Amino acid sequence: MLYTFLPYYMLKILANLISYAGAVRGDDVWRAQEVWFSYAWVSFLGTLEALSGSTGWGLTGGAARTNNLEWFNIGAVAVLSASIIVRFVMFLFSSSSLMNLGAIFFASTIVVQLWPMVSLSLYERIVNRQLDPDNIEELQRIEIPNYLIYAAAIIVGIVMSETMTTAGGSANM
Amino acid sequence: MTSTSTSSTSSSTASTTTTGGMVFQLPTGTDEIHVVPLEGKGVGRSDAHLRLWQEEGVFGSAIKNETAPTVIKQRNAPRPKRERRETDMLKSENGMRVRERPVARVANITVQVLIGLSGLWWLVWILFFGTNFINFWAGIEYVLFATAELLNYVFGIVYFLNFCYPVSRRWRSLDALTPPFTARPTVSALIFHYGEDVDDTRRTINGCMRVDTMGSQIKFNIFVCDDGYFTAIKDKKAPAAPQPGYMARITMWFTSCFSWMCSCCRPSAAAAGAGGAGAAGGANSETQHLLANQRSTGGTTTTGATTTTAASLLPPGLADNPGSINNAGDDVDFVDGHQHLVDDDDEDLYARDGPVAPSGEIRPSAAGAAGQGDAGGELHRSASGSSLSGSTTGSVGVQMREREVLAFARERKLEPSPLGREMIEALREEMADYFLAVHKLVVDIGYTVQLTKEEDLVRPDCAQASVRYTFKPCQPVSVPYPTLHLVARIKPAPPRTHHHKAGNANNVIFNERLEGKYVLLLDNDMKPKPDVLTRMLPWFYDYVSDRCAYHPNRSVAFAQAPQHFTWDTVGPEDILCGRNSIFFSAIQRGRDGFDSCAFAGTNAIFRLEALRAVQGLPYESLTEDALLGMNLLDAGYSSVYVEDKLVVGTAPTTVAAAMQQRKRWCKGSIEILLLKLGWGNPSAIEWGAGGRPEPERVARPANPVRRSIFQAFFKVDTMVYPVTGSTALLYMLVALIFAISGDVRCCCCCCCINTSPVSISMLTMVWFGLVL
Repeated sequence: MLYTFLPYYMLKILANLISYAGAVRGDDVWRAQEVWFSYAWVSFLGTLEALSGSTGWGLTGGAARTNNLEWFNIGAVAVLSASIIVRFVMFLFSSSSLMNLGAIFFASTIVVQLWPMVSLSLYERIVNRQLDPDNIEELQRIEIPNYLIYAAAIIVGIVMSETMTTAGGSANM
Repeated sequence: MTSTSTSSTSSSTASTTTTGGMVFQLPTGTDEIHVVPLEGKGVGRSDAHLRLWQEEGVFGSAIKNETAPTVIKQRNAPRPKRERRETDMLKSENGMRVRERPVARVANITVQVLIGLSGLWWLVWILFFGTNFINFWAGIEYVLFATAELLNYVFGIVYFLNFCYPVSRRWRSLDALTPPFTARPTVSALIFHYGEDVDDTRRTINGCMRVDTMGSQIKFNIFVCDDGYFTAIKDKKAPAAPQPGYMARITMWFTSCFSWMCSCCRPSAAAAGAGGAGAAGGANSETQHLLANQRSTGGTTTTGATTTTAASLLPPGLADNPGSINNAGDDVDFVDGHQHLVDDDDEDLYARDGPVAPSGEIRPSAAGAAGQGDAGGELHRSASGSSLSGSTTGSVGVQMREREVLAFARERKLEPSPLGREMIEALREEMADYFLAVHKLVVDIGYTVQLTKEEDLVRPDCAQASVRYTFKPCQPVSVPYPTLHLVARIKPAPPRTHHHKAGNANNVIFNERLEGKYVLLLDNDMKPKPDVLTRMLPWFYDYVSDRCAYHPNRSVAFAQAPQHFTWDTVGPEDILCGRNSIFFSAIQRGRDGFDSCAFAGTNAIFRLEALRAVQGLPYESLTEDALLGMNLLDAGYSSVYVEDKLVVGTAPTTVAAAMQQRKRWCKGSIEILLLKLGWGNPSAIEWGAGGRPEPERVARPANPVRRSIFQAFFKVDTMVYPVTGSTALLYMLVALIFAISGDVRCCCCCCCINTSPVSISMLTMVWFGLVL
């Protein structure tokens, strides 16, 4: 992969830099990447509908505030989050630690990409649904406070380092 | 200063303007900072008055404070002095384009060639050296991953071709050209509405009414294409809604009686004071002029050739409350704008709501006193002709009483929807508001109704009939104003399809015989800025130096402006990616390098003859915009991308709406793909008895070979991008299987897992980088 994928990947990044420089902000590029995942499910459904020959418009402006289409992303985040926790526990007690660590990284990256839109969907279902239509807040999302994220990262880091130290010590013994 | 600027924090960023006031920096768009002068009493004061030259919805969200400042909407405030740069439109400027960053272009092409080669090597490695089927899950993951990589490689090559030749156009404005632009083009704006909020549409109409027409040098007509105006009559045998209780019904009855009495007593009282309005001239314009008085008097006025029998239009009991003039000779029904239709089973019931505006009260502004423009001529034309509408288009529809038109619709089991009625009232109010705000005139607005029946239709594939409401001042005014119409089609009866937005547009273009040279297409929530015409129209003209005149460049089919959205609908993070910056800021620029930018569904001005040449908007795809752009480019036309903030709209604010929109786009793109592959169902276009228009006989230069090749790639990119979205789904499935099974011995994952956790995370990021 060092001689196959890496050059390909680096050239792609370079092409992106040249194409978007001075025209598109980095935030917008990152957002495009996020929605590439978030809209993947509806892209797939739209493709299927077109191939099946069904007709239907799907009014944007008059649509309801929630839609069953959102459940795929919510479900994906839920399953991946659960698997991250399971993998973390297995990482602590399993011999194939690197395998579990890989699964955690992979799933976490997907969750990070999906989370912004999923948090919007959850806010709509949890908070806005309870409000009067006049008091509904647009584009609000469920936010996890940064200090909680940092605290969780510190705890995980300590547990991991302790576990790996213990495992290393046991191996040395 | 960020979007969360508050009054309390403004002290840190406030600075002194040349006039000594405070300024407030606000982000009002995607990446622009506007400096708004604070005429307040001090920094942080909640009663500061901010003077904005144009109302924008972004302001409310920019200041998040419990004691938000009062915003004074000064719609006729002086516009800021616009920047004037090079404005000469000369042929020597090579099509008015500016080539962008030639070094970057060469580098881009070089890198893309290298990407093609290295990507090929990567695919070879995956397919021949990275195979792994040691167990079921590993095999599944390998197949998914390899498929995604293969698709991404192919589509990535096509995608990057969008950026080979990016250009940006020079700043041009029709009112700043040297030598001056002297032609008098006619532009019609089509605003599409179906079931969306009327307030959004009102904002769009508001913007259209205030578009700069260079002192009426540009003739501007506004058509609201309301596809939701007519709705099916509900079956009376269906289970009725729960009836209110007796007390509630009695209360409702008293309320209705009270409102009825109020509505009829008011004009009667006025009549007692004013007496009979008396006779007037026979001209229809004069009849209009008398409308306001007529409404006040409630009497019957006999004019020369016109008998005003407003009471004849009213149901029994309201006969002393006239509100309409029945022009018996011309069979014209001019309906008072202060009246609106009330649902009823059998009869059209007119009733009053709200107070009667002071009629006939005209306070001419300076412009009006000077007699600028040709609005007087507009009314004069109406008076001299046989029609009262004063329509500037070539419709062959017959003007009728509204009740007759509605009876015609009722025969087809249709009636005006509540939203449609609301729209009628909104249009009337917007036009009245326009006269008040722009010309300082208080006028009453009425409307005429015109019906185009089946025998007169040009395109019966999109309508059984077409109804047009034309809104006009009840009194003659001597100031220029854009004409305002609402067009509602009676859709083809099932099982025939009505073709959604494309059918709606074609109905106006063909069945209403849209005239003029240019058509501005707008979604209902896209509010144009005043200079939308002056900034976009120059791209349709070439300056011919030997003739010292501007001539239409008939090879340009349309000019597209980007979509900008109000801050409150995209938010600071733009989570739903409503701005779509990559498309509007990078891809469109790149395609514009080959005069082949895409039509984005709204914010574009089309040459009407080009639209007719390709037989209007196509029906074969839900994304008729993309297909229309392709058809025009295939026909040899070119397009222009005017990258400027000329229209500001609203984006979906919920995930549900955004997903619906994306799904529709994806579906439409695949439909185009199927059509081009010969697997789609091309919709047969029907030409009616109204006459098929002559095909355009303009010789266009053949597409250069290089342009044709790149256009083909652009088309492929447009058609297959939903498939690239599906590859993201493949990556998600791989991650899901990896996380759940954990038994990953797939080629890539194995390599990374055997290396280090850092490389694992890098690999995942690499995969996601594939979309870039």
